[in-house]
Amino acid sequence: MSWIKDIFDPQKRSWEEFYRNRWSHDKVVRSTHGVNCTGSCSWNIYVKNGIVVWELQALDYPIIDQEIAPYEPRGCQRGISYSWYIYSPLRVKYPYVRGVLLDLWRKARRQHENPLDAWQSIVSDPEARRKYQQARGKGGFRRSTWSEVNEIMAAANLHTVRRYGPDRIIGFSPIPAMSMISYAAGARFLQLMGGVALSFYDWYCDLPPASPEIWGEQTDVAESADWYHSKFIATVGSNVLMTRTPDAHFLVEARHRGTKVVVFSPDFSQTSKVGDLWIPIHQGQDGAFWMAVNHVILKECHVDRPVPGFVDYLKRYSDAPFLVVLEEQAEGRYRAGKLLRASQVEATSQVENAEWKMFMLDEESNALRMPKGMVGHRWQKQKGEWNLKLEDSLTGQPIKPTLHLLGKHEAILPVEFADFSLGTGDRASTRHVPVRYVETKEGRVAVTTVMELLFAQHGINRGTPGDWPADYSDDQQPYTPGWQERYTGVKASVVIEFAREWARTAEHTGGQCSVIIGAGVNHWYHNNLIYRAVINALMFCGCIGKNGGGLNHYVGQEKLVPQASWGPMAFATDWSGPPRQQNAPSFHYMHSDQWRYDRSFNEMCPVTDQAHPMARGHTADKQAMAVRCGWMPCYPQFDQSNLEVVKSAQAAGAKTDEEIIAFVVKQLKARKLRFAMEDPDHPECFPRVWYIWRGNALMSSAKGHEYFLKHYLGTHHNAIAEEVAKPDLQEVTWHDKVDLGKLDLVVDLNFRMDTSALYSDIVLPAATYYEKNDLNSTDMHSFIHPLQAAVPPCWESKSDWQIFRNLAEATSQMAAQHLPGVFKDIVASPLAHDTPAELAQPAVKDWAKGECEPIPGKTMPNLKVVARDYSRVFQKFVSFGPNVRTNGLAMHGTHYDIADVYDAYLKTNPVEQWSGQVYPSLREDKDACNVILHFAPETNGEFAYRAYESESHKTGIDHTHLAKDTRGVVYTFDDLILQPRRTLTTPFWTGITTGKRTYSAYCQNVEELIPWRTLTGRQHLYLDHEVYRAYGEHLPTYKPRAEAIRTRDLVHSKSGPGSMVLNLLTPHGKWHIHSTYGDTLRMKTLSRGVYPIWINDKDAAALGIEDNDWVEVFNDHGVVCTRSIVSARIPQRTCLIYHAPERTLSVPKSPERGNRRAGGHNSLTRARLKPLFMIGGYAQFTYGFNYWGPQGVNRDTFVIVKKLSQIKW
Amino acid sequence: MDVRAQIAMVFHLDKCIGCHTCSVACKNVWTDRSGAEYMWWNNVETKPGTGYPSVWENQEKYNGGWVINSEGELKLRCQTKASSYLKLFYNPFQATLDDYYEPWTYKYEDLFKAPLGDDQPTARPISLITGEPIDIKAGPNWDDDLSG
Repeated sequence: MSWIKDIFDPQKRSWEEFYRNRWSHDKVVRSTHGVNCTGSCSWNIYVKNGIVVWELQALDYPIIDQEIAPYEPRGCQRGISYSWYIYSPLRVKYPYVRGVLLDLWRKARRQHENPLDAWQSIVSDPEARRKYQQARGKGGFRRSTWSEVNEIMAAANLHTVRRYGPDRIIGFSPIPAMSMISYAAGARFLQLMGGVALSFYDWYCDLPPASPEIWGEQTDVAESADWYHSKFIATVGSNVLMTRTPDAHFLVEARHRGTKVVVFSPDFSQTSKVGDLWIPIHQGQDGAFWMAVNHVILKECHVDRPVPGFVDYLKRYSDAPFLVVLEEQAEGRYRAGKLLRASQVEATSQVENAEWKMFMLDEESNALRMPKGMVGHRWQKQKGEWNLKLEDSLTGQPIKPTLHLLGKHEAILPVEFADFSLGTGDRASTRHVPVRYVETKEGRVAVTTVMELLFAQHGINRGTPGDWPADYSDDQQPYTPGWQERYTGVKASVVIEFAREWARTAEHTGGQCSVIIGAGVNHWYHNNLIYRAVINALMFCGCIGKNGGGLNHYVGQEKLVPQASWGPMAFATDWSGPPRQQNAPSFHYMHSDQWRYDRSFNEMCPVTDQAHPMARGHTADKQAMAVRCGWMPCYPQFDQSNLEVVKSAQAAGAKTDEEIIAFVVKQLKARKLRFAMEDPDHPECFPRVWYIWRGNALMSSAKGHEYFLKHYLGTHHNAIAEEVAKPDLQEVTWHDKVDLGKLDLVVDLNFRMDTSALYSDIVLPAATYYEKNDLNSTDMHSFIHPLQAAVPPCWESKSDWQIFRNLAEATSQMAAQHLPGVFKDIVASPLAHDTPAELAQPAVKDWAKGECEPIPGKTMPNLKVVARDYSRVFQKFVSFGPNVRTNGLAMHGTHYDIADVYDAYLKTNPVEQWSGQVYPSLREDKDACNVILHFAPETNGEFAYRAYESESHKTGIDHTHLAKDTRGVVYTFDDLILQPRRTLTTPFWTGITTGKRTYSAYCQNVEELIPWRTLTGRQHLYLDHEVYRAYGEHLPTYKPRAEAIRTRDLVHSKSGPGSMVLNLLTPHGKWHIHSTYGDTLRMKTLSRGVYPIWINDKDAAALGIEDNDWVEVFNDHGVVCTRSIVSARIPQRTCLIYHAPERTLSVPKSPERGNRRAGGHNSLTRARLKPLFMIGGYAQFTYGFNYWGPQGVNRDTFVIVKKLSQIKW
Repeated sequence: MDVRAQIAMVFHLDKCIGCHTCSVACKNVWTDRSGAEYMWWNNVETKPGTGYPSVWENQEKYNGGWVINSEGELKLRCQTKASSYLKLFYNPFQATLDDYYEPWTYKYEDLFKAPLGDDQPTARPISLITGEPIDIKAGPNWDDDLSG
């Protein structure tokens, strides 16, 4: 009764004892969440009696600069709910197998001594196979044991290798940066098998293709503390206050300091609250606004009153001064062509890589100058010329680049500029452009500068003839402020005012304007054009590569900082290679058969020149061509097993690897051997075994989810779309009838029963983020964080590292007995970014059409013979292999040696010894963490120094000063536990974190004169590749978002009275990180207990829908049944379903689709690729995993919404 | 000091983004046990909305607010120190469960235990009070983000 005493003796406050006891705990452990939120927040996990009781934000981030607010506290409402999962009824506690399959397996196992034969007997029996495939997702799980599931998986792995070849085993796990060891676990195992890693960043549509287009960079952005240095911030398609929870304070604090904030958002988003100006722009039309902004900036700051800082910036850091050849068309008109090449000019045609060196015009002499720093210099024998000094690479003389030709022109020629405003490719304006003439080997050609083309493209009239806009208000000619009104719904005066304030701020601050940009823009089909318009506004005002300036694209946690040491571990190149790294968008488009429901892409994508083979037709054919030409990867590789292909070569007399490769090339050329993507529905080409871990591959990531269910899994689905590809198809083989259910086995590692787990054959209990050791990094800040086991994995769960290590062991043991020996596998890999293959294809030529010879690594994929010994997979898995010691480590083609440190490491760290060799041990997850930290330049200063030495050799400029002061710094896992540690400045990233500086992208390029990894080495305003020209996207332009009719989402789904067609948007939400956390009781309670659809109040009234009513949302791809939230915040004719619902929670059945269980948001989407992004072998347009390739766009989606009166469960 | 109640905290509203991290921290540490499901001692409200408990600002309904008594002192309207003890176990003006919300959970275990059927199982919401299926109509943050 102490509380009663309190009344008489309040000073003692003894009633508080109760609370003190409740607060008490035994230990606090630092960890974080591996969840692709980009947050990477350091958390303290509280443990009491061996139980995780709660988590709170860690408050010990080091201060970067007293002038800037600290990073702590980081952490959000989702992260702080994580501990709920550990002991929740949603936790996967044991290995589960669906009963149908388990019965089949146990029966087969009794009948077959050899487990491979047992597995074969099930999957080769059509009835048995159909039976367990159709049971997928329908309940009926049964608890199994680790030894049993390991045996099933090992048997499936080895049977698949034996029957179809190793590249029919695929794996999907996203975003390694969020828990890089866990990612590496499965990736390493799969590559040691010869299996396939599927990409994620492009598939998630988080990759902004504009970044490789302009910068040759996957993505590089400022850390959030750098926002504080910005004086003008525009947020575009990014809801910072909702989705960048731990970083939002920097935006508010910047504003307190006087930064102007302009929020572009079609809805009155949470971020609008901090906007000095909220611009309710129509969704997906931001490109029109920014093109008009650039119209104003070019006119006022580059013509009427050229701003010296802006002009100088373009000369040094962009391709604006480079010379473009004008190609004559019919009736004397011209079109912009390729950049003038050294190979075209007699005097320079003999220099090394002459086809890859270009020209500027010297301002004083009017002579051609070939500056340093181009892709041709990057890959030439003579090093030291790859830099951004404005010097002629032949003579070393300084160059004064010419931007404007007007006044020094030799002629004025009419040039055609496409206008896609109406969604068609046949409209063009003709505008006269000043040119000079150059004598080439092919004769005299007219050239102009990129800058002149930009003026003409943007409609900046400088007194030459042509179709010019009359003034800013002219709404007939693109891209004036008046023109953009009808697309954006924003007044011309707003554009003009914005552009002037923007430019004035940049002028007075030396480029401290920045854009925070996100999925709201990046998820549209033509996102690259929107991005380019935005980036150009930054470039025209000299804002990129500055603290407080630049493009800050935060979509996905793609930045894995210690990549140089992690990469070889994750993809097992420490043992062999090359790895099989498949871009998932192409893979899913082809293998989940979504291409069968698709027509010619020209409906979505107007182009100017349909004569080009990449600019018309069916996307599947473009994909097949991209594979043949070595642009995009293709796994499974061929329509035969790779092991069998090698055996055929050997049977035909091939002895050496070269002879095997020659045989394969011959077979391909004769078309006796074909790439699997040329006939994806042939059962020999099917992917067979799929491992999913750390991700929700079948639901939140599955654009075209219902097609996944139908074609991959062979189970129930709600798609009613028709297969319409055949008439548009020319190359890919069409089968009138296809086998549904391509996959023999789907395995999901998970701590929770999400949709992917529910539909998998085997579910493995994975450790949570508080039960394993791992590493986590992000681009939102410059620290690196550990995940730690606060408690051991509960029940029968294991860490991902342990699970795959054990699977490797089970597979190796089984192989020793049932699949012994060394097998020769042939690996085809695409032309790779950051290698000399960037110079492979100056022109598009298809060997299959006889346009050139098939030459591996040049006109077709690289081919390499790789030996596989399946009994050794486990030993290799736990040992950091010898290739890294021999070859050193590298990133972006910049290399450093590690042999001495590798040898020293063996003396004081855990090792593996076998076959007479000693290796650093990777047996435990913590060992793997320490190996990564010890060998990466971002966490070991010695290697940062060595990497800069290597970079300095390439550029001819000494950059080692950036690493000199931190040369002795080495982080261990234990250091990261003590306090967050800031990663070091290295040449593998472009920002600088030395001293008190905040990280901002491309500061190294600007300050150190290190070229961008592009064609000219500069930031690209102009993209001269022939496919870009055929698409009319060589210059920045505007293509409208798709209308409903063009998407063909609603051919068979009919709207009638009481229903309405809406544009479906799936922005990132408040109560989940993708699908994680969204199913926790905490988040569900704080939202509305369901994954709702948000609709406008007027639309709702017209539909007779009230707030919280149940509704049915459907199109030809599938259906969602959920409750509505009615809000005037949402613009009319749109609806929001926040990314990403689970269909496991509170989802009723759909009367619209035969009373089947309704699905999730991806039931309404489909994969739709833009083939432009498939090109390869050409400077920055060269394949990189998660780096370059088409994306899984999803915003151009339309649905019908109607009220759902009767709820059936 | 005779600390009886904390009646105010100061927030920088310009920095608050309504994320509810504080709400969950409070919930996890103090009110995460059975019987306390509906309790969110710390919650964050956005406007427009009726709040938690519903219409809590209605001083007529909850007999809330302050009055100045005949001596000119500021007093709670609902009770005096002495009368508060009489109302310990029943206060007619206290918000009831209906004013808060009926807490719920989901039959998560169905996802593991559902026998093989002809369609996909889904975890239905059930009341944490009755254990029966519930039609969710209210929650502690029902009006979140209705207007930015």
